[in-house]
Amino acid sequence: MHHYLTFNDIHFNYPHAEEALRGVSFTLQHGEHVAIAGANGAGKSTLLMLCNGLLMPTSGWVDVGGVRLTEQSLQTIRQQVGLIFQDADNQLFMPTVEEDIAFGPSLMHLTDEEVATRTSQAMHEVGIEHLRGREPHTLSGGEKRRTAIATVLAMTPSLLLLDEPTTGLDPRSRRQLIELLRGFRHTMLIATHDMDMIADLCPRTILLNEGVVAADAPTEKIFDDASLLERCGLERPLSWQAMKF
Amino acid sequence: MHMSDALISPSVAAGAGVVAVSLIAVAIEVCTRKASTLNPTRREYLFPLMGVLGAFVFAAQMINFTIPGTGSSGHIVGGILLAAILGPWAAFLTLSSVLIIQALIFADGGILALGCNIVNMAAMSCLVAYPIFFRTLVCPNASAARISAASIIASVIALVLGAAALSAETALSGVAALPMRQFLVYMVVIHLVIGVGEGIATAAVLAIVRHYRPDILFENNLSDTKPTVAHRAARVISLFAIAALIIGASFSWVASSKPDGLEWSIEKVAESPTLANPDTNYHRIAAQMQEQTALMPDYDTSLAGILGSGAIILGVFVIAYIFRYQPRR
Amino acid sequence: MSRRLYEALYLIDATEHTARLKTPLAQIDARAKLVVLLTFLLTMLSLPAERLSNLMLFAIYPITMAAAAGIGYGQVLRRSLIIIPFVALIALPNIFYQREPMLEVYGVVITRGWITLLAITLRGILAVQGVVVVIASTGLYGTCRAMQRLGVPHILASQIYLTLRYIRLMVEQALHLQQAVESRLFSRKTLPLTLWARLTGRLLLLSIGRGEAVGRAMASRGFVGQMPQLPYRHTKRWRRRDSTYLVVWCSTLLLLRVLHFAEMIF
Repeated sequence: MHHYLTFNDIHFNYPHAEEALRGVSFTLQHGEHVAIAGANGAGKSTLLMLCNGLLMPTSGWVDVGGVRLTEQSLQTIRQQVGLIFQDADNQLFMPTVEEDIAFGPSLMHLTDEEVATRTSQAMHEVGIEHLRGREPHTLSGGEKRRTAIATVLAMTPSLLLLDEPTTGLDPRSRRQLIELLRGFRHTMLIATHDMDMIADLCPRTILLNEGVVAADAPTEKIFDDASLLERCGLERPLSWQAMKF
Repeated sequence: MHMSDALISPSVAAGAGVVAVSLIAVAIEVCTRKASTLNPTRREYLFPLMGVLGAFVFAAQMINFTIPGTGSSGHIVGGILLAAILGPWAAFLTLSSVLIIQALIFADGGILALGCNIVNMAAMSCLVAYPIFFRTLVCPNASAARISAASIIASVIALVLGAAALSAETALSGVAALPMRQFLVYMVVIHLVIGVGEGIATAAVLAIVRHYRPDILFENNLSDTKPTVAHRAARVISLFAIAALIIGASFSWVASSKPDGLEWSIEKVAESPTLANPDTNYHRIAAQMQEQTALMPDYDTSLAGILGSGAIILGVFVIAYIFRYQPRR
Repeated sequence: MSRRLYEALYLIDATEHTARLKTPLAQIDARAKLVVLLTFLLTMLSLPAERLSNLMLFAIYPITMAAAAGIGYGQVLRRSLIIIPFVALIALPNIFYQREPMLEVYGVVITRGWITLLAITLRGILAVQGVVVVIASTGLYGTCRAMQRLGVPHILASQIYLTLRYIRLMVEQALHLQQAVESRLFSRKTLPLTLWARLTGRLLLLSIGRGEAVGRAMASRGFVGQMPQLPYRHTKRWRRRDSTYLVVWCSTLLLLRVLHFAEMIF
């Protein structure tokens, strides 16, 4: 089977700091929805940023869609990979929602019509057409999150990376977001410690603990092992805690 | 200090505007060119950093601190601070955009006066004081004391130069009948004190940034290259020369005991009603320019005229009030 | 202490709010409004300061503009009064240096200095009013777009957009930090320098972090250092009413500048 994303023995450390990732390896197939679970500081965000070249590994290599991640292949890879950050305010930097979504496509050397089509399409996929001319600071948390997703979808990526997508959302927005993500057919890698969302969305989970892969297995198996979860600073999802005792 | 539209004449505004526009054009060119020579990671961050730091400066200028020694409070301009992070040209561009935005939001800075304000505040601090009086004095491993000293010197020079420029612009405009010499001295002295305050404040903030994010400061400056030893020596010599020139010039002018010929004759003819302004040179030129743009023979205002205008305006106001647009609730 | 910050937030919000109302003035193309504003400033400020009666007539512009923008003139007037202290202070010496008499009112002689002092103050007030009304009916972003269409370079305009976008966030953040400090200070005086430095330093570090985060977001979407030229799609096209507005006001202002209406009539 053709792998989509491969991490091969990745080591990474920030300058003048300890290693954040110490030998991480895994592969993702096309269309898989995988969760990266771990406590704060486990290295989840670092891992995501290595996927599109915002950070370069200190040793090991990364393959995205068959392309090796290097300084030269950065732009090609970034057109295939969409990263949605934790803080939506940092991704919505244009005066209006529409311009934000159009930002990515307009850097892809497309014609004006193509940019407009992609923008409308992305807004439609995410359900924010009514927010077209709004300014980002007037949006609610859930709307900002969905708009941030739209800004990335407009570039029609094959791999979606999401960093803690449900943080700070009220229950309704959270539910809307989960339903939205459920419908996506992209390959998805979600870094989170929202265990209930993982139960809902991701058949496979990679447990990250202090920069090392503690487990890489079907989600159910991982949720069964309560002591493992605890060692990694996590808990069983509440829905599981009620069901299985 | 901000130059206001009330005190400026269009000709001075235009002149300063031309200077400001050219400097901005150069800054854009320099930033674009330098950005393309940076390594990819740095290049990506220059523009967004400029934008967010512009917002920071806007906010920081509204937080006052008590100036030690005096009882009053003040706020920083932030030119030296910005330049230490972004480099002179990027900082100049950022500060200029902040000035433009302030003029639009607060509407008290003056639109025509923007050219003056950009020159007085952004250009003097980022393009003159910073490269000559800060960058040359500070090396990557400079001690805290050194940075403080450099901050104070650079801030004082920046503000004093700005104050001098402001005085020149006010005098050249010929609107306010201030005696240029007295005004200049007054402004320079005030801004000397303010400059010390700004220098101390800048140094304090730089110390904090240096502690937590040393990578972002002048040693790894986003748009600067490290000056070579010879380069630096030349700059240090030139800085002393310039400092000496400025100090010398102002002292000789202020302390001059021989009034120039015109003033001497004015003193002799005390209380002459035809005297418009002590520094008649500037005022005469400005008045001449204004007269040449008037198409009707100059007759000044009369009482009837003022009352008549008042009546017209009142009438306009009433009509406008009656027909005003009322937004529906 | 935090008054200035609150004021800034209020002004930003109020400006964007009034700009979105469907007032007659808001419908006019922003470029026309900007050109007329510039004409207003140029004509009014080129008047010699002695011509007080002529100057007063320029109030027509802000008064009618305010009515067309659905903004109470009282508000506009109030905002413009703020600059009086600064301007009057610098213009005050006029009284001493311009002593020749100009008017006589019931036996009281008014010197040229007083006239020019009044005139300078009036100039300042009217200038502020003009800007307030135009910005209020156009909005900050609208004004920047108009400036860009009038020729301001793309890089400077995008720089201004970006700064505008984050000003609100930054001011709010500054407010939070300041309130946290204030709640621990017992007096209501301004911050001592050490505290100020810590507050501002923290704000700066947060800004740098945010700047880098925005940079990462931009880079993830393909940004390599140059802002893209986004297609203008929903901007209004120039209509006949914009030309009418432009021509009518520019000629009115020029006439006001060149002719002494009040003197001629009365």
